[in-house]
Amino acid sequence: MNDVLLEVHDLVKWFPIKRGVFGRVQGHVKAVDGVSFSLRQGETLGLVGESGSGKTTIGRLVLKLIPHTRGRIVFEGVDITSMNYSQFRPMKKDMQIIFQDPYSSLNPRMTVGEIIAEPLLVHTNMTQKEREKRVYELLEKVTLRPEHARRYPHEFSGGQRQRIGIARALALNPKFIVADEPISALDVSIQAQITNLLIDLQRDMNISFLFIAHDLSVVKHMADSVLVLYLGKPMEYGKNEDVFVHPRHPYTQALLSAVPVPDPDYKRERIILQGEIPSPIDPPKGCVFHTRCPYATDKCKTEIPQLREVATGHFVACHYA
Amino acid sequence: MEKDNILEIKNLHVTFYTEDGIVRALQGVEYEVKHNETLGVVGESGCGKSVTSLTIMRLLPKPQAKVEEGQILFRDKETGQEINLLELPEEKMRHVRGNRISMIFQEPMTALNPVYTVGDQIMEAILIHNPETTRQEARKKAIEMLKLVGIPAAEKRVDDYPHQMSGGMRQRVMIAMALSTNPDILIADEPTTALDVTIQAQILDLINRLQEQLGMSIILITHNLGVVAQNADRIAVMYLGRIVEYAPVREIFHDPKHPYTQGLLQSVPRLDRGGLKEPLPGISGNLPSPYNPPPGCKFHPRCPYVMDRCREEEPSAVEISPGHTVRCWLHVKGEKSNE
Repeated sequence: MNDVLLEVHDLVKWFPIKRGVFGRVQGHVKAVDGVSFSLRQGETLGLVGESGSGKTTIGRLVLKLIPHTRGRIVFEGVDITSMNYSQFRPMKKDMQIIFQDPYSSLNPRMTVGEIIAEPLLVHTNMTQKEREKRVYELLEKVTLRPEHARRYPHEFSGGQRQRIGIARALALNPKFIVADEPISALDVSIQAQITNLLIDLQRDMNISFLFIAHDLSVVKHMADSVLVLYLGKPMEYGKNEDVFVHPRHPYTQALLSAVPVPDPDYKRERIILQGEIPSPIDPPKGCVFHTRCPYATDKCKTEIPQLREVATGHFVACHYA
Repeated sequence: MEKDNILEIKNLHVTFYTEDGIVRALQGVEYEVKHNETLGVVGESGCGKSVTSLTIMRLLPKPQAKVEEGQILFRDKETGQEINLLELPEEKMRHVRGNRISMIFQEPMTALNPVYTVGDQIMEAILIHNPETTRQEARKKAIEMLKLVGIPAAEKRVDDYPHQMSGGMRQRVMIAMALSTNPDILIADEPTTALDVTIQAQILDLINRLQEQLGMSIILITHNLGVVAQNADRIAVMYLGRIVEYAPVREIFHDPKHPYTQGLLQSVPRLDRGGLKEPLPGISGNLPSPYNPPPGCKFHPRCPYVMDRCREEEPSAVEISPGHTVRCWLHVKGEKSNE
């Protein structure tokens, strides 16, 4: 049961910056810069970071929606990085995605039934009857009603649309789903419903999630292991408890202390980071976090800290962790 | 008006007449804002939290929106006079809006004009409200305000255009602009929703510091319970155009009485407690359509304690302890037997 499903080794993605009439490449945005992790079957890995940290790019890279620059992605023991499209196509069934915005991710001209049946049409030889039956099963799984299949997306609320997106992702019984901020566009009471639904589906279908979120409370609730990113680089990686109970990286500590807790009497040490996230076009030398780190020393300005294991399975990229 | 209140909203009813139908956006909303205090207004989409603040500012879209009933009493700090903002002539309202009561919005990207420098925009606010100020004085004041909100190298950044700044910086500029006239009340409508957590912490910290330093009342509108827990003195919880619970912050979080407040609090996973993948009790069902609200108590289709009475009659607000009111039949019963 605890088999590794997805392994990512030293993944790198550079986007070229083109300028001028001839589109000369002037430099690169290092969106993802040396990220490694592994994800077991039926488990969730939370990718955490602020805007520009590269979390969404990682989600797209592992699904091969965009080409990578360097590194290796291994899915079920097979290296998919060097595969061409026709080799990779049959594997896509097992790898799906749920998007953040349930408004723009559903085609407004298709009925809900058509939207959910589309992956079946592309990847299976099911007859129309079989597809219909499968659509009803899927609607039930995400607690929508069979008659909803005939309606159009605009007739649904945000939470219901997100359920439709989830049903589409489940259509082919995937082993792995990238959930890119699946609840952050929803109302608070609906967020809880979708969170519960994702947890139930994972338990029932043994799905692995790459759960991308900026809300740390949700990641603490959902993720078996957590990877904290800053400007495309891993800062801390470990099991849920390692990161949330014993955070070792100053960035993780600051992130955790910045999360508003719904308790007026909750006391903790507040670390308010100064300044802003630097531009990924021109990231700081040395440790990328040193410009905002309250503990930065001269060493941090020049030497890049390597991600090292500070306890079993708990990795931190900081000279002083 | 009570002595230490600066703003009192009384029995406010606002209706939108749209092409798709009639929306009763606010139904009997009441709250008060005390001097130098922060009132948190919490609720999900369509609950009326933003409409209330637009009504205070008299910025409701015309002709669709109509104030059917109610009063918004504001105490002018200079004269000590009580004014009903809803009856104020427009030219006098212009003096209150932006001058005595200022507002900042969720999207610092769209709230700033892209073709003027941030300095020009802050100066405009200063010059409109203080016509006797010279441009030089206004520019000096603009730089001073940018320094106050923690913008580094303010003398240089004053000539920047909004696109040259990050989201957090733009929100600081918005705050500088809103506070440049030294208002009595700052309405902050989801001021940190579009920002990253570390920047959110900076902005909330800044707003709190400025409140202490300058002395003002704040109406903090948000959907994030964590944000109000640590920054508000009192909380109004809204659902479908009504305030369903209104209480000091500790009572809302430690002893919530309305099933909706309880459900909201149980909907959010928490950093300080709760196990991995534990189900969240939350609230079942969807938000009802504002065009076609349910009869009786608006929350009854989603309420775990629903009774027959809730389906027919709407409860009115009952004060269950000093300063703590609830709109729920569960709490009316006890009150009735006392009478």
